Amino acid sequence: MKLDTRAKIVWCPGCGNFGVTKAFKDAAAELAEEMDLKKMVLVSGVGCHGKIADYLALSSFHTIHGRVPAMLAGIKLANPELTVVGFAGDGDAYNEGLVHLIHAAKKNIDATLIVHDNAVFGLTTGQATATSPRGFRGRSTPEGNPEEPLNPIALLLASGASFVARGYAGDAKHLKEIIREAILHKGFAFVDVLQPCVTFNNTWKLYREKVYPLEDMPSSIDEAMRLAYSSEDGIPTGIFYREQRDTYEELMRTQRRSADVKTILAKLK
Amino acid sequence: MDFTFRIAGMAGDGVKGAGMVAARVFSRLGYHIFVHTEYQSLIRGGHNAAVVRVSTEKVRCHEARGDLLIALQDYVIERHREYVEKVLFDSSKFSYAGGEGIPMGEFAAQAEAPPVFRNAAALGALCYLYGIDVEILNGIYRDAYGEKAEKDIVLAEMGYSYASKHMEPIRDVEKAGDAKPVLDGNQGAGLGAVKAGLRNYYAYPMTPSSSVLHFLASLKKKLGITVVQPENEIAAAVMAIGSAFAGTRTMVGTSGGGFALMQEAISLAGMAEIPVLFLESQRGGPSTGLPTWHAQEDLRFVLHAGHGEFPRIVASPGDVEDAFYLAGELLNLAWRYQTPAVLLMDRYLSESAATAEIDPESIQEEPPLLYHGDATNYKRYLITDSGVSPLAFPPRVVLKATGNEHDELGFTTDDAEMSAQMYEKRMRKIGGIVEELRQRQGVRIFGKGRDVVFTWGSTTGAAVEAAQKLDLKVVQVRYLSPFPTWEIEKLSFERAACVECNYTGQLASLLKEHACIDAELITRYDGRPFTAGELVQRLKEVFP
Repeated sequence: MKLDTRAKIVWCPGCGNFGVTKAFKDAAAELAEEMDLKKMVLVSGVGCHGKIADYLALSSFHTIHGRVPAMLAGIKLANPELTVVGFAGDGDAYNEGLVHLIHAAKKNIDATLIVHDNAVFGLTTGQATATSPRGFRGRSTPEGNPEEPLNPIALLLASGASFVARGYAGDAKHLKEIIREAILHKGFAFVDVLQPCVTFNNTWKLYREKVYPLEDMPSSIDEAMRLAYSSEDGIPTGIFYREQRDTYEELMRTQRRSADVKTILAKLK
Repeated sequence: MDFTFRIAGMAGDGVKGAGMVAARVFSRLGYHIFVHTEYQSLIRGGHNAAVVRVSTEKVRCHEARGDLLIALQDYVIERHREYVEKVLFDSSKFSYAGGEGIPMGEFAAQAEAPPVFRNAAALGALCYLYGIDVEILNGIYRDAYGEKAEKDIVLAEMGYSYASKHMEPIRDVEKAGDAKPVLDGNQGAGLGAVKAGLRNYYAYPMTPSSSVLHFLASLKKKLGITVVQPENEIAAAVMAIGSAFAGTRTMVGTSGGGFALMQEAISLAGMAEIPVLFLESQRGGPSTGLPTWHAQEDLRFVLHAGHGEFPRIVASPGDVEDAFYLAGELLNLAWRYQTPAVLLMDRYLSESAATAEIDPESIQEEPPLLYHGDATNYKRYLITDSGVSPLAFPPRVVLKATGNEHDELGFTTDDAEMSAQMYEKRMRKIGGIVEELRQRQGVRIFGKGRDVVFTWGSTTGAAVEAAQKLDLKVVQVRYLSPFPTWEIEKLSFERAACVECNYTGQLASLLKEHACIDAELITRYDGRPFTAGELVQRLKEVFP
């Protein structure tokens, strides 16, 4: 199945979104051998990342800001046969729609969410997001961001996500492996992807120096949590945690109907 | 025969439940009933009441004056005393010189039942006072609780026996016909939507819409539907849009405050052409307002739900049957025209129970326009004369939907020509909706008369009963968007009044806007619904 579309790609040259798109396409190409990609439905939010829906020849819903996890849940609850994959920005997932992210993890919706985390609002030209570092000078914080950034890995571990990973847009091969595992995971799979915004928050140099792939998955959620907070040895990427538990849509599924409206009305006599 | 009795106590006394059981005694004997409940936003204490009206004719609203009050607390008597002839009270809890006591609490203790079971003794006494075989009451308990009904039945018989020794009957109520179903507006709307193919219901709890959530959740296995209470109203709306995008019929339930939170999602449904039915049950506002009381303040708000321009279908039912039919009609219309629809309810309709004669087969799941062509070349937003594009779903096709302006395939565009064409395509759907509404009931007309009373929602009930007494015609405006101007313009009348539960006269302003009608405004905005008796007086002032 050809994944390219006719849509002209309008991301800035050097944007981290290219790495995420390549990693996803490579993962999808591999997955095509074991699943029908026509059953895959993508959801993207609002922000530079959201345009990814136009660049992939798969079913998609380019939804509104912050609501990607809720949309994934709605699609999956309607048709559990579909494989749903969401793309969200850091402003999208961690600012506007944080409540949906936490609850999608808590519910364990069988969905994958890939967060294009460039720690800045790009499309609105450079304001601080929930993952912008303290001191970040953006157009709304000319004297430096006064807030501490969120720790997405720790947050999702605490929220009950059954698959938690961090990837790096500059290592598309490693990211492809993570995305492939995330999509194959049954339950809510969360992937925070570190990516530079070349125009408003160019972190290529920082990430090249600091990012390293984990050799092994941490042996427990405590270990994963410790690693989520570690920064001395650099920024680890890879799968932090995974477990198997019932998915929300399995628990919510109802059997075929056994009564019709006429019967219910008669019972109300 | 047309009479009323009341049951009052505090929250936690089971007042509403007792009112419903009492009403069912009469509906099983073939009478028409109407149950109005009053309660406060608290869990224990305060004041709760159920006002039960029983009649051989169809009844459309409650009546203030009545035979009897069953008082479960002493402090509630004062509120009701002026409306009733007789007071029956729990003499094991307090004494009241102006009434007749029955030791309900003691009976409950003797039956080794929790204190709240004393209601059964009161209802047993009620059966005696109305000359009804207590076995009718016992049957209701048996149907509801099975083997666990034993203590209720023991208490009902204790109450009946006590009353027969110490009290005089009020009336002799004989069987008048076959048993009739009793349901409230929320139940009616829920079942109507199910009949039209509802598969997924999403709601965050909010009075007075919450009982739709409870009712459908209790039936989800039987009806084979999915009922989800998500993290908030925004999620409810977005999940519903996701489900409809994937091909299933969905409804969202809320009240004004929750509906306010859903605005951006409603706009998304308009742009992405996703059919979702929203049930908005109004309560007193603004803000948290009067959370458990009645109002019709949200009409103008709902007509403009969501930013930007797109077709919105809005209708408001006048009674329980109408709630059933309109929920079904709106879910079908939403799917045929791929745009959001709102069923605008109100607290009096949502939570008042009535005998309802519903013909379920008159609502069917009407098929939407489906795409049967080549699976590799699907255009979700194909530009058509009607504005409606054929639907198909994954995995059969690659389906691309978006909240951005888009081309026929669903790819984002900001091209001027394409943007205008898509805008026009969406708005053209209104023409089809109007044509379809011309085949349906845009308004309901009750009675004859040279002068006309316009109204909407549950106020229809009191308006119809008041108008009967004054020889007036009532026009319930059922569809509010598109506004059924073609039906309004056909009406001939001398003078017009408009009755609604808000301050500004929102329907009256629509009548002016769409049909140049200047109607005398009759409003009420104290959280209480109109009664027919009050409305007769107000109409006499307007039509001297």
